[in-house]
Amino acid sequence: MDDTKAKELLGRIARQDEAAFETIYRAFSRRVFAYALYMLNEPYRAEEVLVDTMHEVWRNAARFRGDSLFSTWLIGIARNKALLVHRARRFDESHDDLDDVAESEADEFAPEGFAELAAKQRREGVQACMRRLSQEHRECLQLVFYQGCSLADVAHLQGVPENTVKTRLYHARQRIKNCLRLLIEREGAHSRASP
Amino acid sequence: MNRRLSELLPWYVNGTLKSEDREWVDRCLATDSEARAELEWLLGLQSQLAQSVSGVPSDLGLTRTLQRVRADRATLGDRIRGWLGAVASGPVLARARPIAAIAAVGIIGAQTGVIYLLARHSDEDSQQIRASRAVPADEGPLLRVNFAPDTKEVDIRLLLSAIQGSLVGGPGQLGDYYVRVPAGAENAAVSRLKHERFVAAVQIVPGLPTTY
Repeated sequence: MDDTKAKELLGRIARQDEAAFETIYRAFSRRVFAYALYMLNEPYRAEEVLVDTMHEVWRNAARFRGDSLFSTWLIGIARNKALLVHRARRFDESHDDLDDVAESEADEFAPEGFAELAAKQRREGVQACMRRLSQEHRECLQLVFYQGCSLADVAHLQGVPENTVKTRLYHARQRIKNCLRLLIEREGAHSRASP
Repeated sequence: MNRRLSELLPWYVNGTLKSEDREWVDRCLATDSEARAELEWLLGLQSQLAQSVSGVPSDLGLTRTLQRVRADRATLGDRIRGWLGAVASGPVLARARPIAAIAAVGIIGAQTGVIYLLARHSDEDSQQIRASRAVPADEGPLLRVNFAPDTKEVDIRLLLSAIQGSLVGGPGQLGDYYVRVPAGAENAAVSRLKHERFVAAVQIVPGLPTTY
């Protein structure tokens, strides 16, 4: 759904139009859920954030000033909700060796190394490595590659200067790449060991 | 690959780059195989992230959200009634106050008459009226839930919200909590709670025990 259509629906929601709300809900629910899932790593909490966020849209539709994309405003609400949940819950202290790898700096890759990663990376691998990034790095990758936010929007949402976003994004890319490389090496070792 | 190109590639991939920067990246990509490989990797990452929730239904959580929306509307109705009440007590309608006072006395009189007539009915009838209206909090079936020792209050709240449950008793001496869920939803709630890491045990019970 494009931004113009979303803003038109928002105007109707401000006039208590439930059908417009349902349309906008179905159009954006996956994006909000995906964002919350990457922030919190737990589906049922992500669903709570989704419900809270969309409820907030219903209640505050009239307050949207229209000086940003609707999706940026929406993710901003989801971010506040997710941070509340994140701060309240117990910090998960479980670590394994992939955590250390994800936190380390990546080695330099040859071009064929990138191609190998592109060919071999799988959904499960990406999910596993995303979970092992810090929340800031995970959020940064999510906002850029899933939500399609601009540099200015990411900086606005994370409340940091654009240069900080660039730095975060650089390290996030390096770390997830390193983590995926380790997974691929493990897969190779397993396949060589199996008869 | 030079630093500027590396910095611009993510925004090139997500389509938010300005046209002049995009053209510059295009020119670099034409001659830089390392940058093309990085681009391919970033496109793969974008695709994997997009697939991560592709199986999630678009109406996930919609029913619960609409319940809240409708509850808000009920609250809005209350606010409107309050506003009308405030208007009625304002200067415009001040002249109507004596009439309203007479009407109120009439209503109170009528209510007194109804109460008197009810009081003349037999005790059995009034017991039936009470029995049909009272819903004791300890009526079952309820869920008896034990939470893991490290469970926080917010975790319990989120779990209760997820199953639309309300706490009617507990914690008891053994850490038992008693939860009411919508009628007919007990088995589904048990199935869901069994898979939650904060839930140590869950069981359907007929009601609150005398002591717990």
